[in-house]
Amino acid sequence: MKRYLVKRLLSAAVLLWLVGSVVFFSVYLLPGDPAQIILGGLDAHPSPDQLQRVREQLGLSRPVLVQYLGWAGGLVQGNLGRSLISGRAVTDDLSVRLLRTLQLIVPAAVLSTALGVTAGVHAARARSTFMDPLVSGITLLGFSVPVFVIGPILVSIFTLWLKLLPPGGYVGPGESPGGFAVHLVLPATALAAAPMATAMRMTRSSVLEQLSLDYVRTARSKGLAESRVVGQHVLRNALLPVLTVLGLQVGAMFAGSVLVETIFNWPGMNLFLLQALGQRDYPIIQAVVLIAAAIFIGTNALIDVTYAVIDPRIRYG
Amino acid sequence: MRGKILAGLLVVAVLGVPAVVGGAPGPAVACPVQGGVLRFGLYRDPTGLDPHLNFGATSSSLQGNVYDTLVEYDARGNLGPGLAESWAQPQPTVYIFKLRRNVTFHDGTPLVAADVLYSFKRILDPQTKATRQKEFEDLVESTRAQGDYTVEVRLKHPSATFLDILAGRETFIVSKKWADAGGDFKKAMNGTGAFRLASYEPNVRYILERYPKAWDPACLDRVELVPILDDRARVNALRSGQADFVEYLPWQDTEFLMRERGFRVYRGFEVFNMIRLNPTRPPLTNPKVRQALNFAINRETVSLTAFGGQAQLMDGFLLRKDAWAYNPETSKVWKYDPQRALALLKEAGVMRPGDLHLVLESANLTVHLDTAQVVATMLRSFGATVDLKINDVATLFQKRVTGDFMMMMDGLSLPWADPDFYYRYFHSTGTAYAAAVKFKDERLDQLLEEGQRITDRTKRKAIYADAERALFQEAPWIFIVWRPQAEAARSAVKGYVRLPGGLGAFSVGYFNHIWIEK
Amino acid sequence: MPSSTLASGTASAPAGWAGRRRVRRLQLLVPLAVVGGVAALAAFAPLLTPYGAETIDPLLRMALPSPAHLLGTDEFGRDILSRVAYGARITLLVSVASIGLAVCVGTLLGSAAAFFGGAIDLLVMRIADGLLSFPPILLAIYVITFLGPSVVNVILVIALLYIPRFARVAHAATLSVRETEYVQAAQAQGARPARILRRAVLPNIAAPLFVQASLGLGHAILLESGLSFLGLGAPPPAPSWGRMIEQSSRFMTLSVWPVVWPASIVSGTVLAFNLLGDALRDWLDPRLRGSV
Repeated sequence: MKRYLVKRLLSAAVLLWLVGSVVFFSVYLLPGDPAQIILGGLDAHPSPDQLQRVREQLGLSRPVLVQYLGWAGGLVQGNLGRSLISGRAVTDDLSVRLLRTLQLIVPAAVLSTALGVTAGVHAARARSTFMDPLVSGITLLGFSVPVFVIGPILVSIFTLWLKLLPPGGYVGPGESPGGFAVHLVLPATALAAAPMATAMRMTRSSVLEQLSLDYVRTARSKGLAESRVVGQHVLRNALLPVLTVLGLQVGAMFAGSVLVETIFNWPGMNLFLLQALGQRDYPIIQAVVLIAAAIFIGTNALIDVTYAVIDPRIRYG
Repeated sequence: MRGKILAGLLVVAVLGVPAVVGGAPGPAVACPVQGGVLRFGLYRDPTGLDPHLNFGATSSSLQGNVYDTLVEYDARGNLGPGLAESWAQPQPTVYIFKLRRNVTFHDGTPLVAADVLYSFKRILDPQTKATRQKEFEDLVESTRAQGDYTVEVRLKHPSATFLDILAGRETFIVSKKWADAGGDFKKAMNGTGAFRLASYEPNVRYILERYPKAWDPACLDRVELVPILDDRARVNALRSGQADFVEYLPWQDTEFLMRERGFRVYRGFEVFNMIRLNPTRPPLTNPKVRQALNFAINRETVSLTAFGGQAQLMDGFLLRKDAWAYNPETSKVWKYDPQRALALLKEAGVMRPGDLHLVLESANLTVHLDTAQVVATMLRSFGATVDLKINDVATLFQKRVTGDFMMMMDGLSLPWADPDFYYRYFHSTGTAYAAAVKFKDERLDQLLEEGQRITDRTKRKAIYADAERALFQEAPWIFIVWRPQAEAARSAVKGYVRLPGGLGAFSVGYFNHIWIEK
Repeated sequence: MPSSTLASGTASAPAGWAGRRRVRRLQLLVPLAVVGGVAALAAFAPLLTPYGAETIDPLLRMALPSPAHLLGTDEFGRDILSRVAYGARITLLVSVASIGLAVCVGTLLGSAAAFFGGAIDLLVMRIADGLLSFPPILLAIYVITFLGPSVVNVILVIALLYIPRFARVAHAATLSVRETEYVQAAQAQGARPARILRRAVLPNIAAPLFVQASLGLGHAILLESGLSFLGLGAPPPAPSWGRMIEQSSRFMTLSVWPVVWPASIVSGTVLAFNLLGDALRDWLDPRLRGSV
């Protein structure tokens, strides 16, 4: 067991290192020059020597390999470098922005799982009525309508027509829990739509499968109450694959959050990356992609290890 | 009857004078309502706090409220006192500025001549990467303090634009004491302005608080600046009451908000859209081809489709009708004339428009891209083949600086009101256009150099008229439209004045005299 | 609306085996018809209207549907029906090409890796893991920033994102057949690996690949339109649906129709592909019903 654990974690670490290095070198292939952005972007007209001076100041004129070693060395000490544009430590800003993205993703994941699983169970139980296809149909829409259509629709209804919720922006939970919640509703809903559909469908088929198994018929014939059958036995067995999906969902939510953060002006890690990409702020780009990959790789490793704990066969496969 | 008119004029003149001699846009009067918080939606993140680096109008929104310049524009767009309460020019190359007394920085240190000297020095220092470094290097020979409140500046040669440069957005006066004590201009701000930067988080929020001891104090207690990059989100913030004031209003929302109750729209036309042409790339090597392109497009269509009919057509060059140097003969030359375009092409040896293979680069910004699309479509229906390439801003910038393009869509605002701005674009050393693409016209160079040194307005007007004639022959750009720039606010927000003409950009995000009605 | 066919064997369908088959057929045919309709739209785009996707009519901007313009015009005065039809070309081209490319390359890489094993296997699968460890849209944004926005680049990027997924499916399937007697015998006889793969592996993975591909098509469309929405897709004036939605949503205060049409068709097309994927799964391999 320990051997498997070590092997798995080691391969995760190697993967992370590879990904980080690829990203590090790839930013230098991006067309465009951060020195130009620093000197004022589109509105400024710097001379070539001004540009060269800035590049030297930023350490960009050193050979790339030297810069890489510097970066790697800093990384080991937990130092992700400094923004080329603002000079601030990347770690400070990144941790704040990551927290904000998580503040969006986690409630959305909870929402999508709770609603999706409930809907799925009900749909499975209500199989032979009109509820099943109705609920399936609605959730399938959540799956198919792009999030950048759902978002503006929500804004049109709840902000512009009903004037109930703000169109975007962020208020920290420390500053104002009420304000935080109010700003969270629309983006979290938009983000949760597609994953909720997935959760619903998975739960439904999983429950259906369980319901058709022998032990359920046995339990029923023994005269156990339906709710006990479903509640105790079926759900427990059905939920195992659903939990896997939950893990995958968090990954999928990272993807959807790019669009949601853009539409709702939620200052999370994705917007941080998009802005840094636009400004060619290399240290930020390198750091954010690295952290995002680390989260993914870490989550996958965690899932694998969990399965290995549960199912001994996997360890030796 | 005449007596009454004269008396009337006298009254107006007397009342008008304070506006001219006063300070920043709007006279420093008592505030009708003291207090209140203004939430302002920015178009981009200010990016930098350094007062000597210009990151565009949005960073000026932040810096212009925290720092001051020696001279400032008043509501009419005339240069007036800022931190310098008066100045004299005993010789063409010598300026003596008398500083206001009892002005303090936000940390309490009083403003003295040494601070002005230090600010100049900082701008000149290559380490600072100041936006105006080159201009200062070309112009300033020496600075000297005479006591604590007088500064003498000697220039290398006479300049018609020195004061405009000083009133600009990148020549703020900073505190020497604070810098010496280790103050970091990139991380904090310490100015003499009506607001001080209380706290900020990049790309998220900037909080400005009223500085009670300012020499020109504000009415508002607080301003919260929030960058909202997405146009719709920004407009929605205003409409839903989340913001009180937003800038860079898209034109389609301008129409809508003008009709809605409860909002007020402020609009100007100080930014122009044009297409840079590279004279080293065939077929644009022949000026007649470049001229032909100018006659081949219908600016009216561009205005209608890309700006909802709200743009002002650019039928000349960069001098607007309200500029003192405006010459109707040389400034009204372009129109939609496909026949003339065909004739010009033939003169240049291009027998059919189909022989023109053009590549147009554009940034992925709506205000550029819409225009670029329309122009590309028009040139295609004229017969040319046009390859429209989209770039993100950083890539476009690189191409612009290296001259790696044939045609490039761009949008610029004039750096100051004086026609000397032609120099930075069209003089062969001009970093804003000519240098990168190796555009050079000897006669134009001479004219622009002369215009920079002479101060007599009549002579300069003639010089720039000649310059415009040369520009017509050379047609270095496709001059398209002056595009609408608008801000919108809740009706309760009062006191905002947009500077006239090309200076409009200076007034955006200037909160000194804004107050909020209860 | 095929909502009655979503669950296999609902009350609305007659009970019994024959009824199930009919429902199953409908499940397959209806979304197929929708996809066919979109394909027809794309193919016959030039014939639908006298306008192209680019023709600007500055005096007729944001016009409501009329006989001259069946779906109205957009903010530039361009005919929306033409743009939606030409946009279908982009959408179908991008999704089919990218997923098709991903299926071919992914299957090849995955099965080859599993077959040859050893270092090749390790390398290929580790790279696949690496690619899968990025949030897809972030990777797409990153790569497009390098390559520049264009139809070809979008196809390449989406293919890049899906290759690892198909490689994994092929890898697992190949692993499971590698140890069978049939394959071992063939190897002993000196048969070429390509032949063995083709005859033993391919039939095994065809079914799950089909299902994955169909769902992948739906995702690819969402990804392409998401990229277009962010300005990173096919550059204008190409009437990509995502970009149409993005640009027209700026004008929602003046008119919603220029947004409604492309939004509806993109949602409808993705929905059809998803339903198709479901139907294929039910039809080809009921065992897969548990997975998503």
